[in-house]
Amino acid sequence: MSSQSKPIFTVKKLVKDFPNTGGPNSIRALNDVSFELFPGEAMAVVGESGSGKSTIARVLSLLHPKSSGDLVFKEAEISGYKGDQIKRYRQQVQMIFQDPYGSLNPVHTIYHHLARPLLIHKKVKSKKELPDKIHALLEEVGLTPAAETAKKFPFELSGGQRQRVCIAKTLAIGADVILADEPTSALDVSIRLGVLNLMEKMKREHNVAFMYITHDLATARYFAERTAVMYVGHMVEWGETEDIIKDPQHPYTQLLISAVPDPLKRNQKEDKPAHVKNQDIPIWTGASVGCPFVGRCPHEMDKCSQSMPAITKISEKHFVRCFLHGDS
Amino acid sequence: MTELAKQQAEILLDIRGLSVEYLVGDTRLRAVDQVSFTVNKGETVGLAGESGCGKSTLAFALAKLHKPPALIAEGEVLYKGRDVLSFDDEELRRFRWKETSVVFQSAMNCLNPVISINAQICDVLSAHHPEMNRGELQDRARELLQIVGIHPDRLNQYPHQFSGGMRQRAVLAISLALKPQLIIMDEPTTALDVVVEREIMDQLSELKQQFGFSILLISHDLSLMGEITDRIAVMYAGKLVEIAPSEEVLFNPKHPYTKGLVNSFPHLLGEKKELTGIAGNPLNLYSPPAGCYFEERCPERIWLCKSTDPALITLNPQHKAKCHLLG
Repeated sequence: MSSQSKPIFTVKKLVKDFPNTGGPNSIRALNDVSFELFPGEAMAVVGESGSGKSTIARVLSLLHPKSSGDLVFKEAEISGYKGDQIKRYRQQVQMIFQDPYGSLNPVHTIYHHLARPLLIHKKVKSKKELPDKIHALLEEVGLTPAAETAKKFPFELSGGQRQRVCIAKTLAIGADVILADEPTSALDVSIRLGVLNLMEKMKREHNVAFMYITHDLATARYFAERTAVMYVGHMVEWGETEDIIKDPQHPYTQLLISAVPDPLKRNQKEDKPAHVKNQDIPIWTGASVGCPFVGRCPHEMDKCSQSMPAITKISEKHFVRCFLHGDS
Repeated sequence: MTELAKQQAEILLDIRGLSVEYLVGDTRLRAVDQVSFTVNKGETVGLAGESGCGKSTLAFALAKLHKPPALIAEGEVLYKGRDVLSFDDEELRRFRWKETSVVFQSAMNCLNPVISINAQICDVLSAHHPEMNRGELQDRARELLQIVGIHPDRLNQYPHQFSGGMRQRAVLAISLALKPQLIIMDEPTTALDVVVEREIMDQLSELKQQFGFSILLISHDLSLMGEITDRIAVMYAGKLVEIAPSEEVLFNPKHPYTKGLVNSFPHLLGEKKELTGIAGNPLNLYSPPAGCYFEERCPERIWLCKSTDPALITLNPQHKAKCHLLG
């Protein structure tokens, strides 16, 4: 799949620093992050809180300026965009947020929420076309009966329904890339799959490229063809999702996989990877050296505190940053 | 478990026909409807369900912690044979924290932000053991922190100086302070990262081995429950729809809602397959149907389901489910 098509988004050596109010060094939220997004494919960015995964989405959606690195969308660098360029960019690269209750305006109807972007981005020739277009969108995301749903206010919809409205908005404008930041974490369990399946449909039918941010490896496996594992602002391992899960190379990935609850583990008394427990996650700055996993890694060596491991290729699509697999 | 062992299993908590209602204007919303199940000594029972199913309301009611507009409409909560709901204030005070402790959802936010962790632990200890002197209280507080994996030097720190996971562990320490026999935990790890969650649950298992308490684990995370519970009870719209040993619930569920719920969790291991979750929306308790509460969303419904609420059918002494298809 990805080897056949060209990437629609290329991120190279992205660094994002935030000023540390009350401290000397700035906080490095992202350090040397590189990846590509392909049409019709999803890449999961997996990590725990503080890993920087949401920051990637915010930088890519131009909510935060980058500190350094290349952000290339459709072969053009996006950081210098102003005014109309930003407006056009935001049409093509959109975000879906975690909180379905926060991302819709409570005083406007669903109709309004869909009409507005259609008008702003001139997706309809006149207001007369709006009802049909809006109803068609609502039906496409499974919000039926569409006419009734359109008249409702956000508070009348459940979390899952609101998330579907957010997805309908992205469809309305015709996004090429969707940055989905934990889109199902705040939803009831039985509703999550419906939303994930809808996103899958958009991937297949509208050729949308997804960056799917999650802390849940199991849904990453379900939805994303490729996965990147983030730790303290660093991409420590990435590749095809099945490879990452079946044959994790980085000690942090191994820890993450062993931590995920799974009833199938019930009767397997497998040896869990040892790790130094109850450690605080470090804060990375521009002056920090070594591998971020030092202090928690069961395989720590001297060189791990001295320099950042380089990227090692495990197989054609599987990469890892770890001294166990290669020297800098 | 052999039959003999089952009979000899000592019942610690016996919930009988418990119903809790919320008074909203003139309406009485039934958040918990005639729920009955037991927790035996040394057992870990999971109570599974999604938001609005009544599991948290039930948790509060079990320790008589519910407040208006919630009220107990009917039923008993027998702890070692005595009805907690009929306890007077003094009996409740002796029961709470000493016999049963409760760890609430986002308990880490329940810590008093202006008092040190030390003071909060000692507060609980001295309330029940006024005979302990200051030195003894401090020693016990240090011991408790160590048990949950927090360095005892952090005893005099404040909650904001602890990470989310550490705060949750501090709350766990407080819940263990008086060596209760039963700990009720309502979504104890929901707000935590998976690695921290794993550390806490492993810690909890070790502590359980060591001290032998029972746990009632309330959560929507069936995957987690699947790993650590002995039995799972499933609630939907206030009713208990299925109860069985955990392996039965996860690998051989009988109620269509349980089946849907189990199939809402993509697996990390094993075969990858397409899942659908459960179609439709949660039930509106303001206008409950006459028949089965799950009928509207049920892929296996029959003509009877719309008009008649099914009884809880006993498939075998360990497995019950509330569904016409099983009768």
